[in-house]
This record gives sequence, C-alpha cells and structure tokens, in this order.
Amino acid sequence: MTFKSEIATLTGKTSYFILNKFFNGGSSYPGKIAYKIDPDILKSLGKDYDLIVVTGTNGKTLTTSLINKMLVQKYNDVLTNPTGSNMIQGIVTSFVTHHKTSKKPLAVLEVDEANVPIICKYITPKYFVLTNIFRDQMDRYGEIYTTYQKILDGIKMAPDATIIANGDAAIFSSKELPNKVIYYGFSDKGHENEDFKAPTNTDGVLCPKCNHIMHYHMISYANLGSYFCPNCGFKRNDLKYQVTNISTLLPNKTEFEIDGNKFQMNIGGKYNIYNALAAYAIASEMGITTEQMQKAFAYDEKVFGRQETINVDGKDVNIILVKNPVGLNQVIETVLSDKKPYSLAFLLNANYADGIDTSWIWDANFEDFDYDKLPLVITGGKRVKDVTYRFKIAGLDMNKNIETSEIENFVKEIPNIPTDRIYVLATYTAMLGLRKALSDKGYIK
Amino acid sequence: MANLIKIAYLYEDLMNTYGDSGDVKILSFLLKEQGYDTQVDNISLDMKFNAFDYDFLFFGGGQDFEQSVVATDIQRHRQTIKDYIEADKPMLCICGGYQFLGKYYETSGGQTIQCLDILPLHTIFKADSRMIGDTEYKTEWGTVKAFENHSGRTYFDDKNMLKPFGQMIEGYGNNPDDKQEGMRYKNVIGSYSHGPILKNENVARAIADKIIASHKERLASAAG
Repeated sequence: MTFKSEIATLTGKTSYFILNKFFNGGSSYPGKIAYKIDPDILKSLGKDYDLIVVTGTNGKTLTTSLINKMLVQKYNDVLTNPTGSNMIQGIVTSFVTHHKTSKKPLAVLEVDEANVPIICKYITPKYFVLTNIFRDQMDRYGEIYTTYQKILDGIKMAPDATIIANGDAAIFSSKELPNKVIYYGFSDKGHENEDFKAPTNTDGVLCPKCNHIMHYHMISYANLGSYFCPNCGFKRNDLKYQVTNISTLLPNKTEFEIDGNKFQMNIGGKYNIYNALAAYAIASEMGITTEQMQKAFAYDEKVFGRQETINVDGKDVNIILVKNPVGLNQVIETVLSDKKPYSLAFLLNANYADGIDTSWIWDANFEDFDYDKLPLVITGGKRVKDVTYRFKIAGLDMNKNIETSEIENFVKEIPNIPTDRIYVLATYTAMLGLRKALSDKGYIK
Repeated sequence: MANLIKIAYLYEDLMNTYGDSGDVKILSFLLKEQGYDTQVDNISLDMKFNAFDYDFLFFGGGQDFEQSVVATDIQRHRQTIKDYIEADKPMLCICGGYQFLGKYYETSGGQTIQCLDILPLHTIFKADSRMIGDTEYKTEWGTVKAFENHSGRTYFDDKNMLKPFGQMIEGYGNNPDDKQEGMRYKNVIGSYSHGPILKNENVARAIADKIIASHKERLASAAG
C-alpha cells in the first residue's frame, strides 16, 4: 500500500467511526473522502479479495443479499455492501470499514451499471452476475444498449472472469465474449410449440442479430423468456440452471423449484424468483449445498426498503420501492395476487435519485388494478399531480382518491384507511422520506 | 361502428420507451368522455398500412437502435403518410417520430439516416450535449409543461411552410438556438415533449376535437 493510500484509508476509517458512532449513518461519505485523497485507493484495498460483481437494472440488492447469505455459510470472511450504496464511494466505504480476518476474503458487491467499468479498473472480478437490463430512469442511464455497453466495458477488463447471466434476457447473448458464460432462466418445458410476440409496450424485442422482432415460446415477464427469431434462428442459449416449477406466488410467500429442488421465500414477486435463481447459480458454482441455500432463502430479514412491512397503529404498511415500468409492472402483478382487501398508495418524487423524468409511470400497467375493489388510493410525493392524473386516466374514481402533498400528511392518513393493509409504492427518495417519517414517530425502531 | 375511433400507433412495439404511450391513453380517456370508443392498432415492421383507414396517427419516441431499424421499414409508408398529412388529417409525432417527418437525421457518429422527407426539416444528433429537463412553452392553446430528453437538434429548412408549436419559457425545445419548441404544419404537430405532453389537457382536448372531426369526415366519405 502506498503512503497516499494509507492516509486515505486511515481518513476513511476515522470518518466512518465518527459518523457511525455519533451520527448513526455514513454509508458513502467515508469512501468519498478516501477516494478524494487517493483515487487509486480501491486497487490497494481490494487486491486480496475474490470479487463477485452483481449488476443489472432490477434485482441487484436482493440478489446480492441472497448470495451473501449463502456464501457466509461456507466462507468465513465475506464483505458486502448491503445498504444499496453501489457506486464507487459507497464501495470504497465497504472496503475501508471491512475488518479482514483471512488472507483471501470474498467480496460480493452490488454495483451500479455505470460504475462497473470504474470498479473493474481497480479490482478484477472473478464472477459477474447479470440480472437484467430494462429501460430505467432514462434521464440518467440512457438507453438499454448504452447501459449494457458500460457493463461490457468492465467485463472486457476481466476476460478470465465467469459470467453468470440471465439467459432469458436476449441482450446478454447479443455480443460474443471471450469469457466463460453460464446462463440461468425459466424452463419452457411444455411450451416448446407456442409462438407469440411480447405485448406492444415491451422494450428490447428486436433480434440483436438481424433486427427482426423476436417471438417467444414462453414469457416470464416483460421481455424475459424463451425467445427465438423466426427470421434468422437466433434463440435462447441452453440454460445450466432453471426454475422448473412455481407452486405459490403470493405477495409475502413464494414456493418454487430450481432444477427440481424445492425452495421457499417469504417475499412475493416472480422477479424475486429470478433473483433467487441468480443467487442459486453462483452459489452452485461456488460449492454451496442445497440445504445452505434453503436456509438463506428462508431468512426473514427484509431487505432495506425493498418489501418492508411496518405496523402503524394496527395497519400493515407494506412499502415497495418502484423506479421503472418493468419493475412497477411486476409489483402491480404481485399486489394483485393478494386476495384480502387492501388500500393503495403511490408516492412519486422526481429528485435526481428517483429520476427527474416521471413520464415512465405512463408505460406501466396502472390499468391492471381492480378499481372497483380498491377502496382507497392515496397519492403523494413532489409529483403528486402527475401520479393522481395517471390513476384517473387508468380508471380510478376520483372520489376514492386522497392527495397528500407532504410525507407527514400521508403518515397521518394511515390510521384512517378502511383496510388492514396498505401497499405503498414509492420512488427512492419518497421511500427514504417515508421511512424517516415513520422512524421519527417511532413506528420503525 | 359509428362511435369507434381508429388510431394508428406507428411502431408501438419499437418506439415505446419514453412514456409517450400516455398520450394515446389520455386521448382514449377524453374521447370516451365524449362518447367514443377507440381502437389502437400497432403498425410495425413488415405490416401493411393505409393511413386513410385511420382517424389519427401517433408516432412516439424510441431508443436509437430501434429508431434506426424503423427508419428503413417506414419508407414503405411514405406516400400514404404524406397524402394523409396533406389531406389535413391529424397526427402527433413526438421526439423520434417528429424527426422522421423530416429529410434526414445525422447520428453522432456522422452517419446520415434518411427519413420520410415529407416536411422540410432535418436533425443533427450531438450525443455529448443531450438536452434533458423540464420544459415550459407557450402555444396557441396556452402554456404547456413537459419534459425533454434528446440529443437530436431539429432545424426547419423552410420557415414559411413550418411554424413552431410553441415559444420557449424554460428548456431547449427544437435546438439550443431558436428558443422554439416543436412544429406545426396543417393538422400535424411535432414535438420533443415527453411527460407525456397530453397531460396538458388544453392541448389534449384540442387534438381530441381534431380527431373527432377527422372521424366524422372518414365516415362521411365512406358513406359517400
């Protein structure tokens, strides 16, 4: 380690200690300071680690968390960045504050797509786990092919790394790579003879080889599935790891089989089965047993803001982060699977971290909600007018709508809802604001 | 069916990533209020298309790759779209859809992509200076608030024939120089506004009225 790096590390550690002890926070600030003093700090900090990079549009946080829970059962020194601080500064913080207990520790990192090449410049990963690429906050990230190119720029620096990619996403088979690539996905057994196109509001449906519109034998959601091109014959790669059955799909419970092994999770959503499958794939490659995986899946800690249930004066408040149309559509599908009565809320902010463009809500399937059965929809956030209007156009009777401008006012409405449960769909900073408001009132300990 | 309005959504399955589908959803809602059902047809690669089967054409924004594929396919429909526009029929084109009405667009890599060459305008892409943010501008129907996100800079080649859709209050619009947003020619509107633009009900209602008139005219000529 160079002298500069040592100073940077020490400063980072000290600031983390102070922030953590006295201000109860500090997930990216220490890294910011250390990175500022020595931009190459990650090189010296990360040189002994075997690195697993988890990236993609949706599912990074949960996938990383599941992988971590699996690996710690076999490996005793695993670093991760569990709070979703997935850019360079946050990652530097994770390294600065990790207390190494072995010579060759593991690092399982959720990495923001655009930060993949930055991280790879300093540490060469052993594995890349790729979840999916969908249109996401286009004011920030740009288009899906640009996003994938950024990930590829990182992968190019690590030709010996193994790539574990979602085989149901055609984009991950669009470029030839020197790396070893392993694909996971949903089995299409029994659907081999089906032939159809994705719904018209699906993005990324052009064949990457010949530019015709792809067809499918089976779609799990959005553009993911068993795709094939009727024009040139391009088709889904053979899958090494497959979801072979889904028996239960409820908002708080999923039961499914991967390669015939039964698993259960206490969270909902088909998209989370993909996250489980991605974790299964890398864990299998690293020698984790089925029993260890089952244990990790059964673990009941909710991932920060990703599907949290908080009790507010007897009402179950289920907070779900939403940030792009594909993710939101999956959340809508999950909420709809709840057979008991519930109310709904949508908090839409347009800060930088949310995406300053809110037009994406129009590409999501708000029309699918059952507006006859929904007794109440509360709207809120800085762009409350926009989201209220979206609900109106989708068919919500405006007599069932309450608009709240401030998060505090929203919290005051919760005890008055006519159901035991409310699903709160919130963009990133709205979710943080809500958690803070609930915490200030003592609902979150 | 007398009260069924037909909308052609050009390349809905490819030009669909900037929330512009909201424009069609809002129009369907407003038309329903006035007693009209709507049928929205996706006109995509290799499909047959006669613009005069429709009361309204909509063309939204898409990603660069999809847009380049559409550029080749859409040439088949040049004549029918041109005749439709010249016949004073209504059309709304957003972002990429707007660029396609012109002669060509030039990519950031310097490649020239031929467009429909129906209206005298062209677009130059500058990938390193994208125009992103809220916009506000004045139009014939009042103020419009929207969101723009484009690297294409659009210029009119004939300023007598084409009129701007709005005068900028905030944001860029067509390009960084003219302080104007969008384009009007007969009953065609071209615009860089996402948001979607028709959440501005003043504009949405004006377009809905044009669509109803166009619908009545189509039925009358069919009966004719």
